[in-house]
Amino acid sequence: MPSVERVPASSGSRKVYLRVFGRICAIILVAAVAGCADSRADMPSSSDPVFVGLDRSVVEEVLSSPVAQDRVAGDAPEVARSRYQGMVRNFVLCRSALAAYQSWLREGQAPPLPEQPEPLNPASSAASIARATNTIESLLASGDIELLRNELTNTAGCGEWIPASPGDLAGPTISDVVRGGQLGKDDG
Amino acid sequence: MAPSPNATTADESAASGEFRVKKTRFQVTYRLDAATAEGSAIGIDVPFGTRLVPSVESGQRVKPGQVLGRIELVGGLSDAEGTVEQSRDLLRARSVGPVLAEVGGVARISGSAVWVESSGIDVVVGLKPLQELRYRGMAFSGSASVETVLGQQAVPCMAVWLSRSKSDPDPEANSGAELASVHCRLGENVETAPGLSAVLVLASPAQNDVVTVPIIYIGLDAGGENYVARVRQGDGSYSERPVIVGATDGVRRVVLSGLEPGDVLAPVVEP
Repeated sequence: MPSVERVPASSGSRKVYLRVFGRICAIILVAAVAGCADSRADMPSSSDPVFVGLDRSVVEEVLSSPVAQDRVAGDAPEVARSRYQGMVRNFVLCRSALAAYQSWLREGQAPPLPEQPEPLNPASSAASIARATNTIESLLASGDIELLRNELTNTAGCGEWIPASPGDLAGPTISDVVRGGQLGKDDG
Repeated sequence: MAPSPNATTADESAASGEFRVKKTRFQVTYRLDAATAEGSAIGIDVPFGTRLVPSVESGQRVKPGQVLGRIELVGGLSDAEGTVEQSRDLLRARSVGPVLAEVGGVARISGSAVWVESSGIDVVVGLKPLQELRYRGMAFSGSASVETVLGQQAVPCMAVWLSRSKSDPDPEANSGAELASVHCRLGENVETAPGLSAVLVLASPAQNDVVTVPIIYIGLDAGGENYVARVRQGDGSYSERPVIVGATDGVRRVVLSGLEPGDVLAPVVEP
């Protein structure tokens, strides 16, 4: 068995060892803290430029939604910002669709979809929002309310998770309200 | 975007949620995303409670416009007093009459199913069960916007009918799936191909000067035998009044009798 010669460290090399060891520990510590932190670490604030042009109260509602936070968990910050913008716009669009559905039932005629807010800095999610908006407009123009009802109660759709009432994150979803036959306003 | 030109008229409801009855025009127009598909037969809708008395043999070649038979009521009209049954009777009675072959082909009759074998291109839309019931409640004419060798063209439907898939290939995967379809047969001169996106526009016959009300104002009485509306009385209270109803587009319903222009309704709460 070969012998291993132990070389005593000088005080200078000991300092270098300690410095390197300290840096490694610091890196490990930062990584551990980052790994343990929740997904909110990269959450944009409601004053982020990505939200300019959108309703502040809806922005704050989406940012505080646990479902929304889950959806962006693990996303890169830029991706998360884009998705948050998309969700804010989706909240507004889906609630507009619900209001149109209820008005259609009450009044007997499909109303036009109100103009949707446009962010000053459209994110990459803008294309899917444009498609979703076209879909709702097309359903309102179809003359068949059942198609809009299907869209709002579809388990993969916006109605499944977006709360019907602004700010009521624990309350009934848009899908719940449509399935329950609630007519909105004065409920008939 | 402008609202659909579908059924009916402007809003008549009051701020309180009441609805003031008046006569209007009722026509259902549906504008549906569809697809082209190969078709091999044209179905003849024989409504529930009726039958086709054929005037041709099964296997006989028929020409467009040829009489295939006559729809008759099975067992005549019921003598039920409830307006639910009376409404049903009126709906069935409306389909009584001769049935013509809308395209040429070979007539096939098997039990209560009647169809004309004829190959061509159809524009097809899948229907959910609730849609199917509503679509079966009235006759439609149609037109389709399809891609052709000449570009996008709006062309009339030679025939419009509903079909039902007889087997569900994967019942578990398709729970709540579309079992019924509405078809529009395109003319032979339409140069298109199967598998393309299309838009199908269906229109019911227009009914002028009929009472139509949003369906939230029509319900059933406690016994379930009568359709009723809650009509405001002189003293401001409401009383249930039986009504006979006709076609609906899922939002509005024609009321054939029981309501008069000027009546003020409150929404009905089902028992």
